Amino acid sequence: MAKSMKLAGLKSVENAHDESVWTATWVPATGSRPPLLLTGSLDETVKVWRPDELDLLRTNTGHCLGVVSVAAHPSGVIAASAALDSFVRVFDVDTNATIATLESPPSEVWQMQFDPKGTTLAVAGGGSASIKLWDTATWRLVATLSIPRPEGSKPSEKSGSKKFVLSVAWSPDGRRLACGSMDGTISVFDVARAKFLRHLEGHYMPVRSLVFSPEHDSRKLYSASDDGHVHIHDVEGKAIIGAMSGHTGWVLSVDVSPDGEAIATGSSDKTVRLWDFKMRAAIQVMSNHTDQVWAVAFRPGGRGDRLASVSDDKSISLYHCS
Amino acid sequence: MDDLSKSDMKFFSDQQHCFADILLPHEVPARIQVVVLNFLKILSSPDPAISDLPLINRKSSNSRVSEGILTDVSWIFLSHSFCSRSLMKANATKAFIRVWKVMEMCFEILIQDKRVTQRELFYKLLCDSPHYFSSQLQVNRTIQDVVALLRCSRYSLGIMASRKGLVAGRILLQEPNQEAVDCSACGSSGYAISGDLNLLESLSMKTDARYIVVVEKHAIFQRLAEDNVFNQIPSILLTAKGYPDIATRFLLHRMSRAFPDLPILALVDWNPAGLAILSTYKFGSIGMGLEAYRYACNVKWLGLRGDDLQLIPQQSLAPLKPRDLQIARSLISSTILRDNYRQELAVMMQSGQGAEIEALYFNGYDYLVKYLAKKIVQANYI
Repeated sequence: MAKSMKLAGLKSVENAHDESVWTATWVPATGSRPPLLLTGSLDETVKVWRPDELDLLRTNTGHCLGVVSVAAHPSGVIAASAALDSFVRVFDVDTNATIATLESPPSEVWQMQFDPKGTTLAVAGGGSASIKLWDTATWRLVATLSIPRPEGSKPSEKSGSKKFVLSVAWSPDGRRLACGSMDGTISVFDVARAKFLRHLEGHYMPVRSLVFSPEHDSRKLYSASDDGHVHIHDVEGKAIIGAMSGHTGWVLSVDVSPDGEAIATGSSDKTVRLWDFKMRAAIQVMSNHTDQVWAVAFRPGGRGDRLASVSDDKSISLYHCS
Repeated sequence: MDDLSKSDMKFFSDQQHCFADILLPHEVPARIQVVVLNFLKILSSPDPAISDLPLINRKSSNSRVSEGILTDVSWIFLSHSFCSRSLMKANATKAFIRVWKVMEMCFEILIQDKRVTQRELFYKLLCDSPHYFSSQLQVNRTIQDVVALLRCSRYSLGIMASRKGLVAGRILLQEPNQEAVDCSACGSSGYAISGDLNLLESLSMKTDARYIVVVEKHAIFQRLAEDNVFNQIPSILLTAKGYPDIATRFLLHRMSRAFPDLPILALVDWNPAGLAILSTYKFGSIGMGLEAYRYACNVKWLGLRGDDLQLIPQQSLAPLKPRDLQIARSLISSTILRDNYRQELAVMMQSGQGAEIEALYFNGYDYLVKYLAKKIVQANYI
């Protein structure tokens, strides 16, 4: 592969939020407007930004506690935001009209992702040790994919807390769902049959972020863990394809560019790293943040030429990727 | 108007009239079932085929005008020319499927006894059938296709109109079992007109106004309401904040029936778009031609008109945009405008310029009320 990617800082917004910014996602373009960036923060708001100048388009309030996750529907029309109060708010991106409010028991709502077709919203179920699936046309809970209890344990034992589910990722063909737990295990499910397939071992500390590589029938899953490593798994087998090290702190977020060429990570060591998959090493380190980097996100569609990062230092940064 | 269409004494033009029925919630699912059964019958016949969906054509070629001979009201209606949605036309297969998808969604909504707005229907279709629906406009057009296929009103399908319009002034509106709302005490924001036509039908109305003033723009409506113009000139103010929606037209029509002595006067910009808005309140539209004819009212053109141009400075005239000229051309080619309106339109097109009502503020912020009062007192409306 001749091309070698490079990041260049484009724009930063200091004090983008009043508190730590915990989550970010891109909203795909619709017929009438280009892609937008959504960020969620401990300050209980979700903000909508327009690149490249990062103009603030809107501030959505209404959540009662910090916003842990934002997710965008593939059509770009709808998005969802989830907060620590375990409410998920589904809204129209352009008008901020509320479309639905999804309630769950406390601490059972963490990361979320819409499936590639946009018919289902998967929500990492935290203390419920499961993934909850919501139908997007009717906003009803249609399935709960539970991680099986470890063998030999009784139902009354509180071993479920080890399987606390933090992160979730859809495969590009929509057939597989992977989720990451506090104990480092990754569980893989067959969506159509609502069946648990297997655990992927390797990490032994919380897996906070997962992403599949973008080719349509992809079996390759990237995972980011508090153990400081990024692992690359084959979800159909049990073997780890590779591991990438370099961060000196927890790896909080991982994302892959739409063309599959580059992987970016954000870490508690305050850096954003760009990785070369072949060399299994970081080819670039961006140190502009002054605190933990909670989320990194490549802009979807086409060349994947923009990367956004958000941090505990309340700022948002936008990079040009070439 | 309804009585005429039911009477045995139909004139020739009435026989050409094609209209959408206003049905009860349980009647529409039956019509949908008939469409499905017909489709299956042809599909499973000895000579099977995928039948086309016949829709009433919503083009100007299928539109007719009913001249107001017995009443003062003329209206646009659609006749029985059909176009079809076919699975067999290569570029139009998705449009065919979209009609079925919307019918399916409406069927589900109706049997659950619910109502949705067009926007909510868009969200459902976007998530349920992402391959077929990508924009609100597509959904709106498909809804009109279903109206044209089933010949029932959009509201009968379970789709509520948008909440766009506002009312202010000397009228008391009361929903059943609720307190009466005095629209002269609503401030500059007025009373919001609901999108639920059944609710609007059930409103009881009382007024001591002498005129109804329909205003094109929200800003002008707010200005007039703030200045309590309806206390100086006993009137009711109404706006749809631009192009009139069905709910606003429905309420205006109800007012015109309940208070037939109140002239309805329109205050629009001096440009083809303003005249198009006035024309929609007055005659209805082709796009919703199967239903819109019901709500045509005898609206008179108060302003801005050609002779008002002397009241505004030359520099507030702005050149007409290509879109304005397009609207003007389609207005000219429709047969419904009478000569005096045509003359005004001709002057607009010849000068190539238009003016907004706000231009009157050049003479002072209170000039608008004086202008309105003078014109009304002089009965200077056409």
